[in-house]
Amino acid sequence: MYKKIAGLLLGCFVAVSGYSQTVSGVVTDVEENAPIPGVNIYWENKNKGTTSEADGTYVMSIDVDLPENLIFSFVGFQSDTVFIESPGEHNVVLSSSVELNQVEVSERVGAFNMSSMARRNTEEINRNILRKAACCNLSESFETSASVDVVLNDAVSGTRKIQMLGLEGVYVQNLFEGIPFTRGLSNVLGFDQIPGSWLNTIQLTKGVGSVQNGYESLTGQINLEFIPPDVEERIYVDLYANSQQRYEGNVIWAKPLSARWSTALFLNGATQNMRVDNNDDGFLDMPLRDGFNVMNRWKYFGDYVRSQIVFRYLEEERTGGQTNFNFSEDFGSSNAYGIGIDVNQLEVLAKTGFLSKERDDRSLGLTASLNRTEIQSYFGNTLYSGEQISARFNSLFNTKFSEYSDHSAVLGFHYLYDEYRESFADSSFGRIENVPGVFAEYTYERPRFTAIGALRWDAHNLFGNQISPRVHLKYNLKPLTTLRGTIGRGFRTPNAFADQLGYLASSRQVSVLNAPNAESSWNTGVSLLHKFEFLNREIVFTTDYYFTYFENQLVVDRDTDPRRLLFYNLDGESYAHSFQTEIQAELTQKLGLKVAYKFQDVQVDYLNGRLQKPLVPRNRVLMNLGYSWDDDKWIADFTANYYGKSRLPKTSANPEPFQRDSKSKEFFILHAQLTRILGKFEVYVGAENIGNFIQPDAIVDPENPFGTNFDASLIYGPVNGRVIYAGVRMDISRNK
Amino acid sequence: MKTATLFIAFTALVLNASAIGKTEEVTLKSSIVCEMCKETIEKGLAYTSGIKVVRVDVEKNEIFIKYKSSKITLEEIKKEINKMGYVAGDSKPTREEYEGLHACCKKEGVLDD
Repeated sequence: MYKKIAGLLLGCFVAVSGYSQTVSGVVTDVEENAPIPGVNIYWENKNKGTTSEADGTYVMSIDVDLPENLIFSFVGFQSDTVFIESPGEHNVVLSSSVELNQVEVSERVGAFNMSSMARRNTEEINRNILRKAACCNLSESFETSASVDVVLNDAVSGTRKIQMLGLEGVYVQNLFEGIPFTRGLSNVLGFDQIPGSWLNTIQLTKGVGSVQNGYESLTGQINLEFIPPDVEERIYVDLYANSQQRYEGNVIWAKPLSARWSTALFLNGATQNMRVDNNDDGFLDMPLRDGFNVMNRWKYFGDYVRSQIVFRYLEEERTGGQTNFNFSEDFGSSNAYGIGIDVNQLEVLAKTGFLSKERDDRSLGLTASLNRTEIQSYFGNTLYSGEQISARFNSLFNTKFSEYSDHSAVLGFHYLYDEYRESFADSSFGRIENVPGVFAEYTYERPRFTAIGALRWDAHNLFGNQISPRVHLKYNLKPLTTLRGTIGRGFRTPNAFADQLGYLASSRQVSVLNAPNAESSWNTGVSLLHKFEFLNREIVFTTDYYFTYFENQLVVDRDTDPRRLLFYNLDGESYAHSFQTEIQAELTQKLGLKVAYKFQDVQVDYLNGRLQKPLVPRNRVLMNLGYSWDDDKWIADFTANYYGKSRLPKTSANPEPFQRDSKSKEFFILHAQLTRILGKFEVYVGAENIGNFIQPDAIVDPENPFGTNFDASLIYGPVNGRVIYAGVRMDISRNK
Repeated sequence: MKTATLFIAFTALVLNASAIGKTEEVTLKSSIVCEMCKETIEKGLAYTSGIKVVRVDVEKNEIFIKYKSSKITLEEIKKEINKMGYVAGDSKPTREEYEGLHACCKKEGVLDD
């Protein structure tokens, strides 16, 4: 039965400090299949333990030398011992009858992914859910999540952006296991640069994030946990091909070197060489791509010192535009319109945690990161290039008020250095940001109630003092019914070009009307999570509402004049309402269903008055059906997405043939995938956009890309038709 | 006069309401030895109907409880604490209940024998 443990990966726990390794899971009752709260959980040879939460979940920190026995005991149940060889997720089933003296450790089926216990409104996307959408990078991993919309940036560059709470992904902070990354110019490729198969889990938190990770989470946080190096020796291979000759390959090798040291190497290569033009507009639907991505992580796990260092390098080249574009012949001329985006990025992330020998509630954490990102791009004959060098240091000290106190605090110092050098067309500009900051976070935690109050003060060299207060509250009405609320402020520096690079794919004349100020907003929200049983089936119901109000925003204006792209500081109001409700149910043991509805209302004061933000659908529905049979050897998934109408930027001032409707069409996107598991191998086939929906007339005046009316930035739906794909995954671990 | 009548009626209502949901307080000596004991008891009683507040003081070895006597009696609360393996004032856990505890949570001399 321990075979299954070996297949499991490091669990899904955002530790407050983020330094400790843990064993986590759910304890359930074998007969009633219900979670058991209050189970005593402890290491056999250590006088330290924990108890399971009201929803049966537990998190146990590993401060012993593995392997070690972990004991689960509860009155009226058979005590059980689980032999733990490595950190990770271990779900335990306790039996109340004396005859059945065995522990079953099972992998959780991925249908339920909302925690009753997390302090913030967090949705977790684990590997089981990631599998539902095969390909290939992080932006595509959100296909089965209703909280995040993945949208194309423009009709030619193929870069995808996410939207959350009705706002762009740049307002969401991305974390690499707790450390901010892919900031600033890296937003050009966004999540296209993170290979999905490198990931273990994704935690999606709505609303303003913790002050511990910096000031930039205005509307949410996405924390990525990569495959850990220390669980077991493991070689993982993932190969993918689709009907448009896109090929991706991933190799991951994780190796524990000793009881304390471990390392993992991640490789990814991607290429697309076929010139596809399904909508016959003379432009490639997806750009030609070549790229590779390398990452190496090292981990040291001592008794009182724990450390990690991660090196990451990526390079990608994209060439798009007209199908007959040839860089060497046509670049710089007006023979054919081409788009090229070359990005390379080097990043080093490090973190070290020191645990107190006297007090196990005390720790000191240090994180540091260095990043250099370089972009070279052209849109027709317009050039944009940028370089960013940034360094970041964060330290945080974590302690309880006294040894047995319900009050705890985190105090920290943060420093960010950011240097930008950019040039667009014939002008160059740059800036240097120096941002020292301090923060304090106070947590009061009771079994049913948690309150977190936090304050940050950042002294920004360009934008002055920035104060960011944040409050998070959680109250459990019942063990499985959780009410959460949050309010807080965040800010960031906008990058007019890098944040909206795809908008340059047009003949619009670009003007930055005034020097961009810092973008800052207040975000507040409430959410309700309710898990219950109906006809013996577990049902998870969630509903939430968030409101974001900008104090300042760099407004991107494509409405005032269809021939111009304007950037200016907000003068007036800009806000976003987002309401979402979702139900997940196991209809039968084998059939899982998820249905979600989302409403978004985003309005901005432009130069000519208030308008709905363009290209944000007001209504969206998602449905996912998952069916598995034959002992989960076969898994079938079907996802349907409905996108309601959204407002298109005004084109009424264009000559008549180049005018577009004021609203987009509503449309459906359907995906299906079938996976067959054969021991260490998995084979999958699937289809994206089965209905073959293609946005009609996506590009304005595609015949004259060098004329004044050309615009490829008015994109609300796919420009790429149906894609059939297939792939294979291999997971070879020594311990099996 | 009218106001006074209203005031009296209102006061009566409030008094009446508080009599129905009368909150009592009790502090029980227990057999708590560690942080884990505190967690077990506080989490274990968090959703028990009628119990409003539970605070475990590890150093003093005391459990402080606020509860609505209309919903739960003191005896019932003691039984709940015993079930988790701990002493509650004059009420002791059974051997089976006590043995469910982790070695570090077992205070010596809890069971008479």
